[in-house]
Amino acid sequence: MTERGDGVEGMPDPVTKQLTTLRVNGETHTVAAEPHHTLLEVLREELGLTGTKHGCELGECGACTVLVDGVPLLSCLTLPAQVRGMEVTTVEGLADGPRLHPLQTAFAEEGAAQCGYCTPGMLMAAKALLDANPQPTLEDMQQAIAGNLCRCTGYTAIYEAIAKAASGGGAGAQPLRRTGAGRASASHT
Amino acid sequence: MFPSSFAYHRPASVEEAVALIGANPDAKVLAGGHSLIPAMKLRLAMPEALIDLNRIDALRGISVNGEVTIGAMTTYAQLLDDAGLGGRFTVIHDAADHVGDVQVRARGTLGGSIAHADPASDFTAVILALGARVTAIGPEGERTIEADDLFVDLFTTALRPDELLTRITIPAVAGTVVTAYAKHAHPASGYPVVGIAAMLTMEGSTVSAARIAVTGATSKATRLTAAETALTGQAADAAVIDRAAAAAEGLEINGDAYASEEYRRHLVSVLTGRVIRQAIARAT
Amino acid sequence: MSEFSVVGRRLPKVNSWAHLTGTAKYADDIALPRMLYARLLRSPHAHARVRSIDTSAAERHPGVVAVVTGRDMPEKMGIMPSTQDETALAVDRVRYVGEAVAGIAATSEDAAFEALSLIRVDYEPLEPILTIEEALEREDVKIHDEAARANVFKEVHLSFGDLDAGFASADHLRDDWYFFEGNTHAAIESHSAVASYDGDGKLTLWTSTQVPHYLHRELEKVLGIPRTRIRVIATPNGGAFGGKSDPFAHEFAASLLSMRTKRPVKLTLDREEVFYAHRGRHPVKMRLRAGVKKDGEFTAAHLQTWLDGGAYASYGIATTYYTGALLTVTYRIPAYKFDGVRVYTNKPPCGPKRGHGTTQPRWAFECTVDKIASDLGLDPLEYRRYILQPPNSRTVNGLRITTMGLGECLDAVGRATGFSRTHRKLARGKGIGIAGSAYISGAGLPIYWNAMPHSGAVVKIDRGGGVTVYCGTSEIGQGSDQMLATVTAEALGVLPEDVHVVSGDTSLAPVDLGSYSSRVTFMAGNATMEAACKLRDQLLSVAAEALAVPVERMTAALRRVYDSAEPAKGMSFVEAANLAEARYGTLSAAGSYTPPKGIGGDYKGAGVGPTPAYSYQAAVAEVTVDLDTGVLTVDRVVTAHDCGRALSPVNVEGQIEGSAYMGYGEISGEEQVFRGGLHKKPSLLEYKIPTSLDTPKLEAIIVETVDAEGPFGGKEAGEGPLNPVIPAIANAVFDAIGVRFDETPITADKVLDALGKRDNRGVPKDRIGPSGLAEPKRDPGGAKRRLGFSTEAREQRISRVTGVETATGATGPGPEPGEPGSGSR
Repeated sequence: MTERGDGVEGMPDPVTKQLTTLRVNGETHTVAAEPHHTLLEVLREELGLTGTKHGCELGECGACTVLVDGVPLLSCLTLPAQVRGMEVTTVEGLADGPRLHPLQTAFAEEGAAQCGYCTPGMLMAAKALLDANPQPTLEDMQQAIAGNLCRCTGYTAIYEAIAKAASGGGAGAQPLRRTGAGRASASHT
Repeated sequence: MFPSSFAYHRPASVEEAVALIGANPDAKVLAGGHSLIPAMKLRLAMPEALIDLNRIDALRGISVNGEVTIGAMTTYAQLLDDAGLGGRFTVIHDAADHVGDVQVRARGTLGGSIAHADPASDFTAVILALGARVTAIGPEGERTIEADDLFVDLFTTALRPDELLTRITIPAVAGTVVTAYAKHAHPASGYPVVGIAAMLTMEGSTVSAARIAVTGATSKATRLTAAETALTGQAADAAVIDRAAAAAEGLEINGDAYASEEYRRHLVSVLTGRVIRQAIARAT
Repeated sequence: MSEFSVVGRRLPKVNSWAHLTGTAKYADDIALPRMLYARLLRSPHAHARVRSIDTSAAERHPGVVAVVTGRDMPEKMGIMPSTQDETALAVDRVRYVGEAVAGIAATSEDAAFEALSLIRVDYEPLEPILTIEEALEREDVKIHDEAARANVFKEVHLSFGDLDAGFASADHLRDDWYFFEGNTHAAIESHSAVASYDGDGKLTLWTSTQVPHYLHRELEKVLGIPRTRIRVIATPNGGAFGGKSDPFAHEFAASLLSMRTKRPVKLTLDREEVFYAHRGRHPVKMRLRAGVKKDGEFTAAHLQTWLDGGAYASYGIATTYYTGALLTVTYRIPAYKFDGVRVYTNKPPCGPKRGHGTTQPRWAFECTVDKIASDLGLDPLEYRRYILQPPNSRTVNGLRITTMGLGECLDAVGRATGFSRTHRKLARGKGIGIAGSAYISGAGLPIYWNAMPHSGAVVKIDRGGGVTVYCGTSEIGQGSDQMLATVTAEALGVLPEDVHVVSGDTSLAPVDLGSYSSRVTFMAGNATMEAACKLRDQLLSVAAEALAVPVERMTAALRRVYDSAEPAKGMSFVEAANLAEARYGTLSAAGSYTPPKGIGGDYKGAGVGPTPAYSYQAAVAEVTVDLDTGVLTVDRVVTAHDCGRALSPVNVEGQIEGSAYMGYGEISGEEQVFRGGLHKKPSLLEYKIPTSLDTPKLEAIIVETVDAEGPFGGKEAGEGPLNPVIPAIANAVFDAIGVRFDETPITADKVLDALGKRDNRGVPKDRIGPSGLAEPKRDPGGAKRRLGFSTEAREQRISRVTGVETATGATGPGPEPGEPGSGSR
């Protein structure tokens, strides 16, 4: 084995960053990034958009889901060069300026974010669903978020929130959650 | 977590891609990337170059014209969205619906899946059942390979290292043809522990021809010839279907940590029965 | 109308905006100038002596800035001061595959990762101990030399009441063996820490931890710098469930690397490493003997538990006691004996997972209760109602019960599902099952002996009417920040959105022991209430004087301080606050909470089990079993939970649903299992986390009992509702197919085995489960083969996933081609 450049024996030389131009949340950014880093790292480390999360980094959990031209994709398995010329939307781009997206409001009201870690990816998957299907059934919702693991909610509150956002904020929302006895009470004091 | 570094190529045409493959023997071809990129991040694969096919529009698309031709880079989502794939191609929708989740279906490609030849891929069994052929292009030009000859072993196909899979063709078949796919998914990964695809040609209630294939249970997708024989020329009543289902068991089956050999064998039989019933129900 | 203005209202959490806009800063989201990236080298051996570690080649890597090994931090540490058997990084022995042995800080993550392969560790492999039975017997192989008998970590024997007389007077006896498989938390956020050692000699550690205070103590001990120079900030945890409540290797390594380099260092675990960090649910083998009268009234119960603890102590001493302590708090048991043993094995250490130590015996007990009902021909719901432990009572092992809503919970789930009409009347393959359970609202004792409060809070009011609450709790997604804001807002008469919460920071906030054992609502809630009420008194008194209203008539709500008899007469909260500050000086008050004395027994071992208030729950599960494929589908789970008073109903429902989900996952397939010491499923492709398509329809019912000692009557909600779901599903499976599953998880393979269909030759079984402790294997040759396999299998797994080549070594089983790799998707 021979020494190569200023590297170390047996190790590849440090990789030169390359310039990539991306459209993210309506803005054009030219970033310098290692070509073997995925879109997830470029968003988080080069653009400071840390809303998109590392969960498993192997395409199994959905926490890194972003929209590319409106389609939910796993940013941990996407190379930045693959989305050149396409519109990337992250959770930071979900609100319309100061006005929250109805999904964000509904997630807050229904307690659909507990630890909040799967939430950015979940919101993107839910947005793609509602954009394509403004009145989804429960089964549509289950299918749409099947690639986004949530370890906190059991998904129930997430369905509630998506249904609420779909119906424009409450009035026609189908209650999925509390069907039975509601609150019971007792007193032993 | 990153892959090791690699040179990235993004050819605009099939010819350019073939030239790049020829010039870079250590390169890997990138289709959907949902198998390759994780393998690279785990340093299980460390290719020196990636040849990304995503810019080659000629590799995408579905044309239905008696026979069906599907570009290798066609995604599962595109397969699901294509209304032309009804009728006797319903098995394609059945199986695409079972692949991964929304994100995976948006990116994963039919050609990538077939060329990868994962022993637990949904579509290897489907193209076997459909009697499809694939077209590959290499330095010496194009050739076609019958699905029956395509799968050689675990992750191994008859494609040569310098060849690129370009399209999958499903030939036209005369008569009343019905198809279906049934699957027992691994609870965590969603891969088929056992998947069975079937294509039956019906004459009234008689099965005049049958192609049935299994994936997940064997080291490569395999035709269930004994089950096919048990069905062919028979009126598809319960006893015949049960016989076909029982006949499906007679092949070399692999066990693993999730499902033992005997459990898989049982599933092959149960799902063969189910898939036949499901297909026949579509004939009426 | 409610007597409360904030408590009980369905309000968004105060921290939800950060979650929903991507601005919440989890540990891995932190980036500091000149920050280095660190990775850990982990052991490939289940058990080995570390002869030497050569880091020189790694140090020569151009990107590497510093390397640390176990010898740099040899101080023993561990969460429980009485059983500290760990070091930050392995020093001279590794005890499980995945144990950290060295850490590297480099200028990039790539460089840190690459340089790991340049560290040369000389291991001398030792025989691994992998089962409870081996651990109990093998004196010749000791995982810890300190263990008094073989590999026994802890043994507990407790007896209450006259057991012999109890069993003698029984009309009906049961004697059942059970095995609960281990599983792990699998929070979506992997553990992450960022350490920054400044020029002034102060270390700040941002970390995803549930226990900043305990970690603070361990950092002082291991790093050898005083706590006055260490600040721990618990970042919002992206899920925890008990998995972030130990001090971890990566926290120490990041800290020391930062001290060595004087630069910030980030160390985030990858998904596979999270399975090695573990500290999850113990595999527990159990034997439960029960005696009952003809009507089902218990006369005696004897529980024996054997816990597979993995390689280190973690909370194991508490876990061991918890497998026995709470069995008595749901139903009347006049005589009770408990024997518990926790052993060391060469696997990642087990620790606390949601329901800590109580989940496994609760499942076993509720299965036994169901069997008794079945034996005696009783309705399982009515039977449970009949034998309830009464409120305001003492159990035979001395535990004080106050509010007790189990009966109401059983009624609520029964009503919602029509349980008694449906049970035993469904078609084969369909089933319905019920179970009850209980949990604690915080442990009665801290993990280190001290007489100080368990929780402290400071509330201050600024001149603009803003309120800040400071409390050492850790926000792990359970909603503790919202709880602090709710209690503060209710007490002071403002809205939660007016309250700024400063939590989980050892420098800014008073100590709270941490977000574990479901203690935060009760303990931090009471501390916060005490602090806020001191300020409320000041506000009401100055306002009463200004308005010339008797102070007893004054109240505060919705940003006003006013006369409750004549609500128009009042002033704004800001005006009252300004008057109060003019009168009393700066508006700041502290509160604290210490659990009352006398809530448990006074025997050795009485420290685990007591709590200021028990929560109660019941669940009904409806299932479908596919008789041909063995697939179990849980169609619906209805869970009722007695949480005292629901301070934030949306949060309580979320905790109930999330607990039910997690319980469903545990019984339907989650398992942390090993072969030859090698983790069989260290990825989310292999370890099943239920998706939206798997998860049953979950319904939550809140039962309120209003606990006299809880903050506004509140009790816990975060853990208890997991416990009844697992036995309810097991009991429903029995209703569906007549098979008792006395082991978890209930997989399709096992169901088919029970149905006698797996190989079309089998004989149907009426039970799947252990029938005793297995004979320990005494085969040194076999052990050697296993040892060889742990390395071999790793290589096989790798080749299988790549599909490059398939090893077929004589020492291991052949290839497993159908096993999920990273194959085609």
